[in-house]
Amino acid sequence: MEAAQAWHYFIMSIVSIKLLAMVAVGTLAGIYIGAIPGLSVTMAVSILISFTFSWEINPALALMIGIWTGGVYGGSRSSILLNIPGAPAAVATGFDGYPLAKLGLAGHAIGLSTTASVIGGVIGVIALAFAAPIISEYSLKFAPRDYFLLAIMGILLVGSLSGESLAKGVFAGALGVLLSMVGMDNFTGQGRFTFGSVGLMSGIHFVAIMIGLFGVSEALVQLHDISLKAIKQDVSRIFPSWRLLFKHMYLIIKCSFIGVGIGALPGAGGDIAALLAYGHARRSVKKPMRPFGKGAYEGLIAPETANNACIGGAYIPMLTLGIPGDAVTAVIIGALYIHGLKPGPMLMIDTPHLFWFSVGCMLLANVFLLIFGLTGVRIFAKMVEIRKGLLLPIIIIISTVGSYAINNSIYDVYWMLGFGIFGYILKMYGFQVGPVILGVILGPLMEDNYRRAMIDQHNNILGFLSQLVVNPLSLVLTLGIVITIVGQTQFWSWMKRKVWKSKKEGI
Amino acid sequence: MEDKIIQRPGERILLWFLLAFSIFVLIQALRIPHLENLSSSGAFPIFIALILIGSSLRILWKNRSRYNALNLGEEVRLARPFALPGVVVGYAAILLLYIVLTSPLHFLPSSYLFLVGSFLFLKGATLKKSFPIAALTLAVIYVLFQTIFKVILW
Repeated sequence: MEAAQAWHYFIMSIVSIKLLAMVAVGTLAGIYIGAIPGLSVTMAVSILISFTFSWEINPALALMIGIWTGGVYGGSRSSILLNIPGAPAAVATGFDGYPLAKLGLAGHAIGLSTTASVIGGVIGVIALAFAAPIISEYSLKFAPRDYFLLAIMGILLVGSLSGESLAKGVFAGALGVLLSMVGMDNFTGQGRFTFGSVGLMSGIHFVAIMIGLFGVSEALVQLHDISLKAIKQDVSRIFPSWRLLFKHMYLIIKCSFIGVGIGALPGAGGDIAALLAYGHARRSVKKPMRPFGKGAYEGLIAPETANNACIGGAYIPMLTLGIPGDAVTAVIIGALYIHGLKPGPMLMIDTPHLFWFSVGCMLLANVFLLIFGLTGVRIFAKMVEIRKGLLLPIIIIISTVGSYAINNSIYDVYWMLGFGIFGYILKMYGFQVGPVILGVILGPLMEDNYRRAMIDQHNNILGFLSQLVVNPLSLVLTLGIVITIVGQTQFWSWMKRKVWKSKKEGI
Repeated sequence: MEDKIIQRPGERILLWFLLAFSIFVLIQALRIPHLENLSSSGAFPIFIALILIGSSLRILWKNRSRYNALNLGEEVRLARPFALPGVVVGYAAILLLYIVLTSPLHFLPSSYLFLVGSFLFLKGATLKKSFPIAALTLAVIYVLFQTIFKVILW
């Protein structure tokens, strides 16, 4: 019975014309948005969720999954054609994708990256379908302190991996947590950081913060190279040969697993997965078709497979633990909250349909990715050449409409502008805005679980701290946090040097 | 990794500002009433404020030699072209004007003026083309958001 129900929800997106259309439109829009330098998939999803407030959850989710899947792939287009990654996940794609374009093989590179992305994406979805129910069942054993630790780990990992220093990442994450605390305390109803303003009692809406940080601030950053002109490319032949595809199938499968594994880690996203997969290809492929960095097909296939496989992987902690893996999953978690759902272990029990529906949508999005990815490339090449002077004002208008749509209030537009300018300054000085959003989303989860864990221990700090090391699961998480922090210190570098030296001497 | 990063003019000023802000947050957190135990309303904000202070101090301390490469006067002078070049300041002013005027002028007129002004300022289109492109863009936005997304535009 349960399997039949799961199957019913799984094929819901395929049999319903409306949902099918939502996934298709989302994927197509995602590919184009992701391909345009300056428009990120996080920005697109952030702005979009404010428009889907009034929608039912299924079409909203179908659209967002489509945009996400299309957006991650779309980033590779501008990476190949212009050597400007459309998204952080497409940085590694340009290493060999752009040299291929310079050799006059841009169409070929696009075709190969599309098929590799689709295979990676499908493997990611299969991994999600099998792993999530198991992890969800296990996560029921998590105590409040474990969620508290997981949230800290998520912010720390994003902070340490995405920025130039852990301290800046920690500051950004803590800033996000602080913003989530503005307003009424969930436990006591006490106003915090409201400065006597009634308007602030309901807090600052996280969508206004997100649109400001990802939309407006990015538009302002893009002004720095407003006069950069695009290079025209030849995209006449795009379908890759079966022979080429089968030749690299083993690498594709290996990189898919790298993508799934990295995606499932809280804090690690498509960018890291793609870079690791590229590194793996460099090490493991002894005889590439061309040298790496000079147009090796292997150097294009590896990151493209991994970053799309990462999507399925990232869904695992998001749906089962309620912990976002990166900024996009943080935004999608926010969207689920808005629609009255609570991602976490109970989501699979209370609303299993949502899980299987998401799996169905993701699979469908990959089918559309193949169709849209291999067609309309000429229009595409024109789209990525669009002038920023035209594009950026349109982003601002859509961001404004998105912020206003949250509560039909102009105050949210003011917040958006404020956070946009603040985010721009942070970005200019090496702070990442991803951890801020993660902090905003994870802040309430972190604080609620901290307070529950503390109440469990009758507000005894020693009792609380001992619980972090006595319980095996808590101990693993605590060690993870300690290693993440220590790994960024000079002591760690000194230790590594010492071990390396003694190893060398031993040899 | 951090050692390879060159000094960004104005970074030290921003960090001192962030440190002052973090201290202000700590003071505000300490003023939250009923701070009688570790699970009260003010406990977690204090913890977060301390993290903010600690991390800003850590960045300042770790990069002290890099930050000392420029004196304060030089830093202020170089910060403007680095973080606030003319195009950013000018466009931020246009954006601010748009946000301020959007409420009294309503969405369509203010957005139209903003788009035309932006296209011209950012050299996205010529004067002749800016007006029809702005009108077309707004028409698409209006139809899309008003009808499909059901957003009530002001």
